[in-house]
Amino acid sequence: MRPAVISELEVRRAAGPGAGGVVSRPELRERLGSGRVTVLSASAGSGKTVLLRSWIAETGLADYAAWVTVSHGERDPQQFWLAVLDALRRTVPGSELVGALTAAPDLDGWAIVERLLKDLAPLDEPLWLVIDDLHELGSDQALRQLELLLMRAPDELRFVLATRRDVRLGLHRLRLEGELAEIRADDLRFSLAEARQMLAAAGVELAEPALALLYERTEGWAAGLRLAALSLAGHPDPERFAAEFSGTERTVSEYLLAEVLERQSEQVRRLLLRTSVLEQVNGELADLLAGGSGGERLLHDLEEANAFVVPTDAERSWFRYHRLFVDLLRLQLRRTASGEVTELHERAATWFARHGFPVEAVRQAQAARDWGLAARLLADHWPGLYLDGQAATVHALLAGFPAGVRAADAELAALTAADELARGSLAAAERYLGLAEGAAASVPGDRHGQALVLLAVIRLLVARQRGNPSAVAEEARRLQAVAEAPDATRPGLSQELRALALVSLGITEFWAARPEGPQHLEQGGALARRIGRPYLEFSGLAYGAIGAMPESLSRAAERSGQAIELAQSHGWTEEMPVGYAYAARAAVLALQGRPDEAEGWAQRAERSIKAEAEPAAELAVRYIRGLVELSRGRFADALTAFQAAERLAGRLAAPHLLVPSAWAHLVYSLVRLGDTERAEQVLAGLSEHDRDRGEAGVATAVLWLARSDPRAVTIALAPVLDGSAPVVRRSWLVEAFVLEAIARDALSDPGAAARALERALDLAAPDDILAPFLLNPAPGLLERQARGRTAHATLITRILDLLAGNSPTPPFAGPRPPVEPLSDSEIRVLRYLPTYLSAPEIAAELSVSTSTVKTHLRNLYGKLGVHSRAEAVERARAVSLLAPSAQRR
Amino acid sequence: MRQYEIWVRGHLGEMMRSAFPTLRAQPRGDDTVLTGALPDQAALHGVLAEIEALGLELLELRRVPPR
Repeated sequence: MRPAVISELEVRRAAGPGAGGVVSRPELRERLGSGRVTVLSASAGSGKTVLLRSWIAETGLADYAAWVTVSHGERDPQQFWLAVLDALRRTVPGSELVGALTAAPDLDGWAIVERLLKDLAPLDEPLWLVIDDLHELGSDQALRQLELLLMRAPDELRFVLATRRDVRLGLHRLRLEGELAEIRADDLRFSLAEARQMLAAAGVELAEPALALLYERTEGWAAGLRLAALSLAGHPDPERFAAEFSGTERTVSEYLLAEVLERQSEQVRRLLLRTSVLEQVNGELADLLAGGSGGERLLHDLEEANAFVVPTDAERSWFRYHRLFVDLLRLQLRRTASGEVTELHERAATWFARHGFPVEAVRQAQAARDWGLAARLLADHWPGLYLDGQAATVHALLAGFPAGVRAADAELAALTAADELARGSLAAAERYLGLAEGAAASVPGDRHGQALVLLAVIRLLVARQRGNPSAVAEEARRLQAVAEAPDATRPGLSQELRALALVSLGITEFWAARPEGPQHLEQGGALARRIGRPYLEFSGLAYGAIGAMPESLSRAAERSGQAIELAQSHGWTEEMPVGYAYAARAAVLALQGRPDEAEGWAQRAERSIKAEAEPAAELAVRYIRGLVELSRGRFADALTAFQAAERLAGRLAAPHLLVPSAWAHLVYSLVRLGDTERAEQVLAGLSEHDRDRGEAGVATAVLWLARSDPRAVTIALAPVLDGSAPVVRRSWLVEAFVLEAIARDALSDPGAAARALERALDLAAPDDILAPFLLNPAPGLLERQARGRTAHATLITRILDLLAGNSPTPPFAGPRPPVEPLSDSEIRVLRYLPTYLSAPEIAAELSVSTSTVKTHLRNLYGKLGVHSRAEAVERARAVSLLAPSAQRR
Repeated sequence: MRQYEIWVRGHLGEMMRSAFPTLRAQPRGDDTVLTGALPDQAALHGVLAEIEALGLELLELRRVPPR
């Protein structure tokens, strides 16, 4: 859906009353500017769109009105909102306030609305959002979201909605409060005087009696009058036309359309009829379908004659026909040339395919019943469509195939499986995968490799959903084998599939803590950048940021920085992958001994986690919170966080690479809190695997240090220092050497202490890992080191400075996101709290029972730590879970 | 299958009739009645949607009891 843009022509057209056939209708214009919400509700051809366009042009609102025309059959909330945001950004106020948003798989319309409310809160001048053809919006979700926007938007955002039938948008409430202006069919009907004006402007001279006949027959219906004007312009005997017209009982539209068509040249008639199979047409397509040349010129002429042809882009190269017009044309085409229709669709399909319009290409191929072509096109473009968030469109396209075709074609069956998966039908997804496997053998040679990759990717996605780790590992291996096979890569289209495969593989390996993960993420991300797929690149970087932490903090910081930048420029700052980038950044800062900076990022990570997230994701976020609290010396809070992480670890299906670390930090926190007994218990209770690791060794060392047994410390540290007990991260090694230095010093071995300390500094320097020095303060040792032979004098000075000013920092002053993350349903209820809807009304909006809403409210209040609706809203706003309140109200 | 009668304003010419291939269009005074059997609600709403799309004025809808 491209937002329609008011062309210069419109502005020129509307310059004078009746200029170019557009009649000035001042009383209606008044009404358009009056209420906060204006609805134009009238059937096809009543003149809504023309009125709106001339209103915008005549009142000079072009820069302050965002125009969206809902495409025929639009079912995807994401597409709708992308168009709305795009249109808003083209206005003057919108360009400053509204953030960019690029399509991505699975964007949440509700979150988009919330962000839009946040962006527009400071709006202090009128901004209009015009939505034409609202009845075409076939998504109840999108309508509810629009309704929410209507309820919570700032006063300065005015809505103008044009529709062919009344749509449920809670308008009765607005009506009661006097905020709604309505313009209905009776209002839009032309008066006799206006009809006279319109005809006159079209150059038609008609005596009063004839005009009266015409007016009576059309009953002031705008489309009828315009069609009549078209027929009458230059007509040899207008009086007779009027008489015949008024005498017929055929419906106005059919009669007049037939008249109009008859009066066109053969060339124009042919063009109109044969291009009616398209939703949008340009000069090239017109020539292709109608045969011949000069199509673009003809389209321009038709548009200037105000003949129901409307440009859909600013350059006026693409046009669409008025809905009423095109439906009638299609009927006429089928009646008069039915044998040619299939070929028209075929030609259009090929053109669209070649010029980069995959969705239209598939639709046209389906209309031609060329299932093979349609299937190939859809399969080739699926990765791109998926990444563009067009899952709903893909679903609609799949539904356009006969069930038998879908089941017998390997690629279509695989795509259907992915579609079923996206809709939560795991069993159906597996069934279709089975069908795809069965049909795989019959895929022709040149597509075989690509089909196998597609199948493998979808199998992997299904296995991940199942949550069976061994199955996932198996599928990942299969995918790797297939993706690296020589015939898997064909230049062009399948690059997207390959990038998608690599990143999916990398993410799976990341969760399983397999070493190949970072490499595949890197490869996938690089390929994604090369082919211009920012969402994949962003995912690769975000996961890669955490994945890089064991090796190199600076690489982790770099990746996370890049991921966050991509997220910010594309508006993906609430999407799950970015949570990892935030978490990685928080972790790096915490390990570098910069807790105040880490806090903000940790909060953002916590906000981006939903209750439905994988437990592994939540574990990572809790762990990071623990690290941040450790680095501020707040050991009780650190303990809470690590305990939460450990509880989550119990729910994991596969071992998580952070688990041994979390245990060790937990022990450490207990020791620092003085509870050495419990610390000992925890250590004793560790699994053998965890106990053999270096992190446990360091934790044991800390315990012995607290018990003033330096010899035991060195014994515990030995395997860590010689590398036989592995650690997940270099910072653990740094800490081990620091503790070793302290112990050796206590054992009166200054030489060994100095060597150990120097080792610690060596390891810490490249990534600035200062936390271990701050957590285990040894200022005397450090000063001695500085006086002696060291390569790190500057570093030591910095550490000493930090130690000098370092005391356990006070708890973070501001409000924090809820410790327990909110679920999707709770967040949805939360968003309705700033409106005046009661609980039963909210329940109606969300199609759930009132008791469900009340349960969500209770949980919400609990998680936010509040006792009333008003407090909930306030707290939610304070932690950025809700958009701030607008200027007024 | 159910039998329906749907009244719209005006007479339908060839073009309009071809939009309702499963129904019979008969003029009744100034109006037209479309009669025919429709398998289910979905089909019925499809016909209504077509009527709306073509800008026809819907007057009356009746389900005819089986004889």
